[in-house]
Amino acid sequence: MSRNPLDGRGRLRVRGFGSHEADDDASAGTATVDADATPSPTTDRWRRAWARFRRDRAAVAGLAVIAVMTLLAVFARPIEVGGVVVQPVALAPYDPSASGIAPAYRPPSLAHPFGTDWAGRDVFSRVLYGGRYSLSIGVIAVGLALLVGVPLGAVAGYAGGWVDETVMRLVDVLYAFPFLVLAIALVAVFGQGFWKLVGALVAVGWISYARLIRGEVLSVSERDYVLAARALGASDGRILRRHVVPNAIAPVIVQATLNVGTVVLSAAALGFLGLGLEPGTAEWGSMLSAGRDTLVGGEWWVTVFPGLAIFLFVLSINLVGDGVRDALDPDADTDRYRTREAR
Amino acid sequence: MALLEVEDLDVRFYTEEGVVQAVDGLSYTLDRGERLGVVGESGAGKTVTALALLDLLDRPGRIEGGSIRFDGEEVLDAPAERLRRLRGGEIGMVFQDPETALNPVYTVGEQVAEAVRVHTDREGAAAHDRAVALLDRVGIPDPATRATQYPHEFSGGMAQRVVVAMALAGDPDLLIADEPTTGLDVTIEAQLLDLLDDLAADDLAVQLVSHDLGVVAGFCDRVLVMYAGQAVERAPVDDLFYHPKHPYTAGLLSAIPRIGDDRDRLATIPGTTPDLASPPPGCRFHPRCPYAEDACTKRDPPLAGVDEVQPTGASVAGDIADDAGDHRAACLAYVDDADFDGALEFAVEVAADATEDDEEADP
Repeated sequence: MSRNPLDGRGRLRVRGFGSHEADDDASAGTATVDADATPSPTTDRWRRAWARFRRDRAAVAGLAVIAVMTLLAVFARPIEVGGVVVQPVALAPYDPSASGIAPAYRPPSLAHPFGTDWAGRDVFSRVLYGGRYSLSIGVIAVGLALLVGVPLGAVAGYAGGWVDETVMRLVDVLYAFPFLVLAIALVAVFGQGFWKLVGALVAVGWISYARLIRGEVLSVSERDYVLAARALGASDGRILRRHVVPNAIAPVIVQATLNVGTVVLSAAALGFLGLGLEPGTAEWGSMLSAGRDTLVGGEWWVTVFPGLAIFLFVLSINLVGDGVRDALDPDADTDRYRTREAR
Repeated sequence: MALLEVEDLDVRFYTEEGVVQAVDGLSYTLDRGERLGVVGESGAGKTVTALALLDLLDRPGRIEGGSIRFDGEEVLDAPAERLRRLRGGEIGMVFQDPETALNPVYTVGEQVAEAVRVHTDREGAAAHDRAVALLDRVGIPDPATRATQYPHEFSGGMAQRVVVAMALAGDPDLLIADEPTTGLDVTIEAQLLDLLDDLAADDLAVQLVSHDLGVVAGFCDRVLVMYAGQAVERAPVDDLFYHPKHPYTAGLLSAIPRIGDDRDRLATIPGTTPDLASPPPGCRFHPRCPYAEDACTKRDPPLAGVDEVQPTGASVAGDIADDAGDHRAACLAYVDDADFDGALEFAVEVAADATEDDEEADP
């Protein structure tokens, strides 16, 4: 019992070393300050992501194709808003819904580059104009699905408890149905039309975003800066909006970009099944559907050109989606992450 | 009245392995402008205590009992709105790892400005100007330019200064610094401590959580030593370092390596911190204590006053006098009616140039 934890301990002083100590400290201090004072060019993460995206040639090509298709769709026919013509250009040589402008089933020629269909309508004009439906359905349906899915999923993940349970069990129930089958059921119940089609696609589309962002929110909520924001007295809504969601949104954006292609494809599939827009509309899927008898007769141009348009758009969207994923993936950027400087 | 009064604080974590008593009956006070050091091993409950002060504990942690009064007002019953004003407005907090405490997607100026907006009427440009002024206050050179940069463009020391600036945005009376210098190298640590020292001179109370006894010796007025969720010793800083009363404190002090030490191995305290889901009976330190007797396994010692003439730091201690003396230790050796026969046979020997030592230990 005579153990002494403090035996043999003493304070030793190194002599002849401390005389310059004050000077050393001061110069070290200013050196550090100088090193920190050189401001490096500041870029935010979206600009960095864009710089990385631009290096991906396939993605840029996809973006270019989409841009061209969008422009062609917009400038295909004049647009009137409330009787005023806001876009006078007409790239499509004929009215896409006008029948009888040429005999039916004319093969491609100079006057009709993509030929004519059973009603004598110009397929080239219809394909150009049809981009309006397909592209806008894709963008609007995905945008609305994000507006529903992201807030619901984020709140579920952040709040937890019964809120989480309610939202996620609803998501599970909807997930139990195959995407297309559920969309078909909804369209069958509510009827046809542009907004009803969009509504059906949103109703089945939001669940994947909700599930994705909930998982991300669960992980981001554990980060120190969220605790720091709480320690600063920020309200829960503010923390969720400003600190959690911006850090959790990247995978959702990737998923949404890729989903635009899926949604366009689904809209086309519904159109092909006769459940999309009204029959006769110049939507790509409906055109395929209307022309499916012609495959036997050998009039290939009626179906090949709208099919190619769908193929090209979905392929481009997928290339862009892959590019966005690579651009937003933090692992692709490890060399830019600063390791702690040892000074 | 003290600025912060913690009484009988009791925090438990409900885990699958059982109920973990992370903080058990902790009491202490902190005056305006005072600097309190909280030291202890990992898992002693230091950080949990700091988080409990702002009611920031998340499931599975729960504050089960006790009282935390800030400026005489109970924190634990406070409505959510009051609690949010308290957080950051009256109590600021600095976290251990500055690089994870900053949000990577906003510029640092924006983050400090956000803290300003939460706690003041300033909006827009005024909040931004205030943020730049705060960055200047914490010693960030060229604050206007640095404010437009992102956290990844800051070094660890500079990022920690930003975190301090955020904590100061609401002009708090108390700053809780949870191991603010861990992970920073010693020169940066010294600069940061200088900054805290400078801030504390403006009547800002600081609760410094640390396991670095050297930092505590240089910075704090009083020290609270925690072990396994309990306070084992509470003393003015000089008394604690020159006259440790609890065997655990003595063990911690003896484990510090020193320049010129002729020991081959560093002294250690044998064993590890107990599993707090099933703490040992009696004194929680007894399995590791070289002086433990039978009585120690049966009775949990209270934090008792130690009768000793205060040789140094008495004037400092006088201002913050507790009714039962300001040097207290939780060991049966200081309990009169305890069945404790032995004696705590450790002592601190101060090397020859004592004046030098006094300067060093004097904050």
